[in-house]
Amino acid sequence: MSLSKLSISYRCHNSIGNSLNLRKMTNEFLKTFVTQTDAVHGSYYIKEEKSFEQFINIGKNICLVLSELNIDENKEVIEESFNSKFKLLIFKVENGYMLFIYSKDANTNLIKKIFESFKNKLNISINSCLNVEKLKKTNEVLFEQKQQLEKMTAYLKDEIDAAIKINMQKEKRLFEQSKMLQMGELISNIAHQWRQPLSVITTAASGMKIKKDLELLDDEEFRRYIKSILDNSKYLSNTLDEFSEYIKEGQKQKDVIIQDRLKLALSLIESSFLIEKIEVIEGYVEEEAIIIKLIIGDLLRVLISLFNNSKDAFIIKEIEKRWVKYEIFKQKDKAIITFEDNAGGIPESIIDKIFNPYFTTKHQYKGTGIGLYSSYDVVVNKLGGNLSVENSEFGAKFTIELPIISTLE
Amino acid sequence: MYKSINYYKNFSDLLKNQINTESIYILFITETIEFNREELSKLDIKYYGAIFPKIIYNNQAYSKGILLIELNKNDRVIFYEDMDESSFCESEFETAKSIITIFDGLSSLATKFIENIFENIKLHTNILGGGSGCMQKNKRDTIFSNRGFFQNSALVVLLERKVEISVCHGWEYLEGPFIATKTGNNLIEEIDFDNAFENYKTIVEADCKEKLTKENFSEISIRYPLGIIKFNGESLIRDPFSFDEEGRLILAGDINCNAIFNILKGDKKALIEDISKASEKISANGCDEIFMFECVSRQQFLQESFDEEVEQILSNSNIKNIHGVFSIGELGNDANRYVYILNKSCVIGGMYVTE
Repeated sequence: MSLSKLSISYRCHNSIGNSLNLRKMTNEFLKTFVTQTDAVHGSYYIKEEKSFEQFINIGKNICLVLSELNIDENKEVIEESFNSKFKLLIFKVENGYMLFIYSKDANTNLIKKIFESFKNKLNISINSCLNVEKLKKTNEVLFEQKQQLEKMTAYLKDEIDAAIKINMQKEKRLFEQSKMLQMGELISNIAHQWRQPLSVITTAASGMKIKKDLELLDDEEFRRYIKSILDNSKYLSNTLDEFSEYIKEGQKQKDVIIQDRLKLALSLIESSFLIEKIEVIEGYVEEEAIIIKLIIGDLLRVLISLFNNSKDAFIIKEIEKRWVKYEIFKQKDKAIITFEDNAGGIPESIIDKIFNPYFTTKHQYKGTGIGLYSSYDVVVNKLGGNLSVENSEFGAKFTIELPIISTLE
Repeated sequence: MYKSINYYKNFSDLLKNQINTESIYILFITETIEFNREELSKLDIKYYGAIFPKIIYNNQAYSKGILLIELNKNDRVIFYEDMDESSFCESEFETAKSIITIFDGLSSLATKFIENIFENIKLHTNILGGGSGCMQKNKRDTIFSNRGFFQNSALVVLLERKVEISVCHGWEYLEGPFIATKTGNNLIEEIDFDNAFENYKTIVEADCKEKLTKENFSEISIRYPLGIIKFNGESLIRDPFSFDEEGRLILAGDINCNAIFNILKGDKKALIEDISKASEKISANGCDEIFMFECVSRQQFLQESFDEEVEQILSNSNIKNIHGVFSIGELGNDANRYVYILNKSCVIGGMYVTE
């Protein structure tokens, strides 16, 4: 083997496979082969879908359209004249062709032999580079998808945060509305409660005046009238005290007896239930006082809300014989309060939704859809208990479960 | 290649001359001449130029003087103020049959620049040229235009007429082959996996019977260049002009890692014979005037033999006039092969003056 052939072969062998980047690897090889064999031009054409595209160009900037050269795909090496003073040498390699341009006097037989001596190594290296590029592309796609997901997650997080913020504001407004509604109902109840004693007081005062004018008022009658006025005034005063207690102590946390809370609730709804002819039935009530620590207004609001819910159901369904039954008992470390009515129950299709905000089955002027949602929120989130509903034989049955964590000192 | 070529001893002689203000001029100036841009601007001409160690005019070498070359009407010049930031446009080179490229001979950007030029010129366009520079002064800005001097610059003259090109060197095999097992641009760190200088020293000392030291290195190594083995047994000459404390050989010109080379030896007779043969080849194509880019280091080796070289060329061919420069790196590409910057070589451009 001649020294120049050995030298070229050695240099070219050393230039193959020094990088796993196809462009770098083929660039180094082509540059070495072109300079070592004194080519004017060297290039690598890569097989694309329907044609061969020039991937690397070394030396004179020449780009040929391979399809116009009528290359016989079965041939490993093609030699043909080019541009009168030059000749083309085209080698079939992995995934394409390597094309070289030489002076027409160049010893192409020697060049072909040299190329053949490392062609196998070159093909393996091209293949390795292509595999690495495929992997890289896959990684790039995965990375891009990951980035898109991260972007989407960040976007969704922002959206969720914004939605939570809006919901919190909405919820705050809901509770304000709920409070105002309950306050309205309380005032309505007080009005009902006051109507009869006021009527008694008015009647007594008017009777006294007429009898006095007619000089028919004797001392005994006067005392009876006065007693009636005083008794009813006292009743009015007591009602005011209860209402005042609810307003004043509504936000204070303290130990309370559940049975007392229920009685207070009953006293506040009593007159409206009388008007609607709803009988309140006391079921089993634990004799021993059940004490829990809570903000007293919270539980009272829930109890009134559940009573009113039954009342509204009766009105909507126009049921004649109406009753609401309550029970209070202890179960392990929980206090259980149940309310059952005979208003026919809740359709199964909506029973899962009745604690959702703004969900109501009532007429739009009567219902806001926040009463039961607000009650659920108070029991679950503020009192750490649970509020559930089921349909009994007669109607809806609500169950409040509250954890007992304190005893009355 | 040119409309006229004239020699002037200095700028005052040049300024006395009648100059055609319509033409474009190329000035090749020896490093000993004080360049006077203000004086030159009085002429009101478009000019480009470069500084070289020596110039050749009418068969004689001058260490002091100016070559004033008036280009033909249709020849054009592209001046690249910075070889690193040059952008090339293929269409600029479309009509050129030959290209003369003068580049900053001491710039590391030259190889890449020349390769870029080669990529953009047409298939049949040939290139000749050389590296400018000063041997004595530590001067780096050696290429100029009306706008002044620029470092790392290059000058490309696009010729409408073809220049015949022949390249020669005449260095002969002494010892080899060796492999440059560790290199870096123009440095050889290891030869055959051993210290580069030690390996080189062993071969050279055995031949010249002298001890190779830091002091006499350039004086001795001028006779022992490296010949990188190329296709068809040709050699690409590289000149080891110095070495550093780590024993790395410093070359004029780049060498790639794993390059296989021989250590060559110079023989004055062989060098002159080679240039004579190259001239004969040019002459056989009908050329009667040559412009040569002769390596200054080759010339240092030949010393007083330049006249002998000229005599040989004139007696063995139809060449009547020899002009040129002594350059730092040469460029000679006949369009039939890849382009390299050469060292210790002579590039001859042949023209048809008498037709």
